[in-house]
Amino acid sequence: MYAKIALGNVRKSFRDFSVFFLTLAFGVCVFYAFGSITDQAAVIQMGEDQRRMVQALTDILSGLSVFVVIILGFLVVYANRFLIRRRKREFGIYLTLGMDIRHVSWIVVIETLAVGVVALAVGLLLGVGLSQVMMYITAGLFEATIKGFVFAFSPAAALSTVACFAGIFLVTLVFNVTTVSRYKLIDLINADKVSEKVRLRSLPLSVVLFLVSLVLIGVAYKVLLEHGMMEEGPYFALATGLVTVGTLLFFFSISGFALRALQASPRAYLSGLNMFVMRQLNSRINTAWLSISMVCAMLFLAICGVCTGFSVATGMNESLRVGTVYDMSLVSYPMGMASALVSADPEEGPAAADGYDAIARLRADIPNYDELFRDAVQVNQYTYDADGNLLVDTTVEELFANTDFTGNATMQTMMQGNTDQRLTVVPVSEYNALARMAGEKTVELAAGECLLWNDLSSLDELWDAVTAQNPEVEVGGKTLRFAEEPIVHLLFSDTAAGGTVSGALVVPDGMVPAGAGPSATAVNLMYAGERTEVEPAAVAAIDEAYGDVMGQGSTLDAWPVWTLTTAQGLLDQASGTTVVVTYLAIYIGVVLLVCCATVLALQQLSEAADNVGRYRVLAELGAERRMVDHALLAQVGVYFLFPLVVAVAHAAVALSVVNDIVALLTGFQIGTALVGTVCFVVVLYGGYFLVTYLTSRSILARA
Amino acid sequence: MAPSHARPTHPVLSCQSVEKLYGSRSNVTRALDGVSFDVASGEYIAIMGPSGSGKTTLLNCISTIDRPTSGHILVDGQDITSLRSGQLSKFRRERLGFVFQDSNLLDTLTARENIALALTISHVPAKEVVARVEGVAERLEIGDVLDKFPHQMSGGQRQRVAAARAIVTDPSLVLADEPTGALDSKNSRRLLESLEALNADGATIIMVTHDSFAASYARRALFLKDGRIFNEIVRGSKTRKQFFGEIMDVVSFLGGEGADVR
Repeated sequence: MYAKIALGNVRKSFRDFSVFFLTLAFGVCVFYAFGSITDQAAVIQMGEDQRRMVQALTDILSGLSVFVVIILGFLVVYANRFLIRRRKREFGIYLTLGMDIRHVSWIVVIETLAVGVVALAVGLLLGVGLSQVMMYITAGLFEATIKGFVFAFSPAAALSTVACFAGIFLVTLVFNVTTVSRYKLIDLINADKVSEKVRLRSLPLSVVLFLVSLVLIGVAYKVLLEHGMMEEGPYFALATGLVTVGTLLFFFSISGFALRALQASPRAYLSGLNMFVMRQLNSRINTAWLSISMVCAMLFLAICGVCTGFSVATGMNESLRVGTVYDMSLVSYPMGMASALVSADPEEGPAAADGYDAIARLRADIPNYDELFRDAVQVNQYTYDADGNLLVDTTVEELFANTDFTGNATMQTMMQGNTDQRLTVVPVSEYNALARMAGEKTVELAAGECLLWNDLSSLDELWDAVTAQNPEVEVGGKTLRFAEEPIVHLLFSDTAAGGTVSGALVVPDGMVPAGAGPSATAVNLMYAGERTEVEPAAVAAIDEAYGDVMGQGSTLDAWPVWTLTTAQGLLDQASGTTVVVTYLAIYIGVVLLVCCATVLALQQLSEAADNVGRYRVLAELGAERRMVDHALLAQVGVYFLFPLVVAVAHAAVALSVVNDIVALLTGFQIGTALVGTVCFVVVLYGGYFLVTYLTSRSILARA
Repeated sequence: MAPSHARPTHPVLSCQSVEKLYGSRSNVTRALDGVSFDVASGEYIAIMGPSGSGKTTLLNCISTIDRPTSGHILVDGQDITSLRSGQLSKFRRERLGFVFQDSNLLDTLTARENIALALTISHVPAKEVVARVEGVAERLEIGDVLDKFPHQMSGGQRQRVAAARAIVTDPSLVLADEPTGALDSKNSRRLLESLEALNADGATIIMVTHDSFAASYARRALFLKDGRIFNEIVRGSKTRKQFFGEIMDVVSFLGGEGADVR
C-alpha cells in the first residue's frame, strides 16, 4: 500500500522530482563517462607514449573522483532537501490520517529509491553515449584513429559508478528518514502559513559595508596586479584574503545598497514592479548571501581552471609549433657546465680532441649517417677565449638592471636572480648556416656590429628595451654596436619550452678568437626522409653510439650529445599532455559549474514555491502577466548573474596574472582560451538559468 | 420586498441573470442561479448569506477571478464577462480595489510601498504616487505606520492599509471580502468607520460578509440563499441600530446566525 502511495506521488509530482532526478542522472552520466576513459582508450590505436599519458590521466581522474563524489553527494542531498521541504504539508496530512511516522519515512524511502534507480539507469545510459562521443574526441586529440564503428562499454566504470551513487543514495536515504522522523505534526500542518521572518538590516549599514567591500576587492586587485603570484612575500596571501572578505561583504550588503540606491530615485523606485523586485531580493539575501558567495567561489575556480587548462594546452601546442623547426637537436657542453665561472682548460676533454667539430664526430660514430641525415648545422656559443678569459664580462642580470623596463610584475620577478650568466658569443657564419637550413633570412654584419639572439618571443619587448638603452657592448676588449635591427629570432635548438637561448650575441666571425672552445654546442639535424619513418632508426643510432654518456656523469665527457631532442618526440608527448590537461579542465569545470547552477536553480525554485502568494497578490492588483514575468526574470536573473559577474571579474584579474606566467613559459596568450571558456560557461549556465526561469514561471502560473 | 431604489445615477455595476454552474453534466451544482442587481455609483452595499449561499462565488465573478457560466456583468457599462485575459488585468488594475479577510499585504514591502504598488503597476508618475499615498493614508489614519512592515503592525492597521491600497487607485468598485473576519470588535468598528467615511467621500463599496454588525454599516443589504437573491433591505434614513435590527430579522429568518446578537 505504501509503495502504491509512493509511486503515485512520484507520478503525480514528477515535475518536483525532476530536479532531483536530473541532478542524479547528470552526476551518474559524467561520472561514468570520465571513469571509462581507460577502456575507451583501449579501443583507440595509439602509440606507447600516448598510452602512458592515458594511464596518467586515469590515475589523476580516479584521484579527482573522490572530490567529485563528495561534491555530487552534497548536491544530491541538497536537491533532495528541497523536495522534502516542499512536501511538509503532505506529510502532515498523512500523520493526521493516523499514519505512523515510520510509515511516512518508508514512503519517502520508496520514493527516493524509485527515482534513484531510474536516474541511475538513465544516467548510465547517457554516460555510455557520452563516453562513446568522448572516445572519438580522445582519438581526435591524440591524432589517432578508430577503425570502423566500435562500441565501448566499461564494466569497471559502470560498477564503480553504481557503487559510488549507491553510497550517495544511502546518505540521502538516512538524511531523509532522520529529517522526516524529526518533524512535529504542528510544524507540518502549519508549514504553509509560517513564512520566513523578514529580518531587516539597517540600510545605511549596508551602504557602508558595500563601499568597504568594494575598497577591499579593489585593493586586492591592485596588490595582485602589481606583485603577481610569484613574488616572494605575503602579497598573494594578502590579496586572496582581502578578496575573500571583500566578496563575502559584497554579497552581504549588495541588496541593501541597491535598494537604498534605487530608493534615492523615486522615479525609478516607484515604477512598475521595481520596488517589489528589490524588496524580494533584499528579503532573501539575508539567508542567501552565504550560498551565493560559495557559488561565486566555485564559479571562479571553474572559470580559472578551465581557462588555464585550455590555455596551457593550447600554449604548449603553439610553442611546440615554434619549437620544432629541426628534426633533431643534439646539445652538449664541450667545456663542461659553464655555470661555475672558473677558467676551463680548452685543451681538455673529448671535444677538444676533436677540435670541437661535433658533426665530424657524428659521422665517424654513426655508420649509416648519410642514410639518416641529409643536413646538419653546428652552432657554438662561446663564453671564453683560448686563454680562459671571459669574452663578455657582462651578465644578463646587469643588463636588465641597467634597463628601465615597465613590463608586468611576473616577468620582472622571473628575470631576477635567474640570469646570473654572461652573454655568450656566436659567430655570424654559424648563425647564417642554421638560418639557411631552416629556410629563414640570413643576416649581414658590418665590422663593429653585433646582434642579439633571442628565441623566447615573450622576452622580445624586454630585449628591445635593453638593446635600445645599452647600444654598445664590449666583446673581448673591443666595443661592438647593436645593428639597426638588433634582435634575431631563429630557434637555437628544438624545445618544448618555446625557446632556449636568450642573450647570445651574434658577432662577426673574426671576433671569436682562434682556439677557443664553445661553452655550449647545438647540432641541429634534418632527416633524409619523413620524420615518422626516419625517427626510430635515427634515435636508435644516437642511443647506440652515445647511450653510455648521454645525460649522465660529467657533461665534459658527454660529447657530442648531452641531450637529445626530436621534433616528433616533442609532438607526441604534447598531444598526450593536451588531452590530459583538456580533460581535467573540462571535468572539473563542468562539475563545478553544474553544481553552482543546480544550487542556484534549486534556491530559486523553492523560492518560487514560497512566492506563490505574493505573485497572486500582484495579479489581484492587476499586474499584467508580462510585468509579472519581467519581475520574475529580474529576480532569477540577478541570482544567476551576480555571482557570475563577480566571479568573472575576479577570474579576469587572476587570469591576467596567470596569463603573464603562461605567456612567459609558452609565449601563448590566454585570450583565445577565454573566449572558448566564456562560451562554454554561457551555454551551460545560461541553460540552467533558462530552465529555472521557465519552471519558476510555471510554478507561479499553476497557482 | 420592494426592488431597490438606487440613487438616480447610472449603475456602476450591473449583474444580469448571472449563473454559475459547477461540476459535470451528471452532477451539477448551481452556485449562482440567475442573480440580477444593480449598484449605483457611490453606493455601499453588503452581500449577506449563510455558507454555501454563493456570495463568494458572486464576488469572484464580479472581480473577474472567476467567469460566470451565463449572464452578464457590466461595470461602468462594459461587459466584463467577455474580456480577454490581457484586458482583465487592465480592468482589475483600473476599476477594482480589493480588501481581503487576511489583508493580503506583501510581507516584504512597507505599508507605504504596499499602497504605492497599486499605483506603480498602473504606471502612475512617481510624484503623483507619493502624493496620493500620503493623501489616502491621512484619510485612513495610518500615517504613523506607513514605514512599518506588515508583521510590525496590528491586524486592524493591516486591514486599513489594505483598504488604503484598495482605494488609492480611485477604483469604480471596492470589493471587500469579509474584511472584518480576522479582527476583534474594536478594530472591526474602526475599519468599518473608515469604509463608511470612504463611501461618504464617494467610493462605491461592495462588501461580502456574514457578520450582521458589519453589514449594518452599509446603505443596502442583499441576502443570498441557494444562489439566488432572497431578500434586499435598504437603510434609507434609518439609524445604523435600526438597520442592524432589520438585518438580524432577515438573518434569523434565514436560520443563520440567529443567536449572534451584539
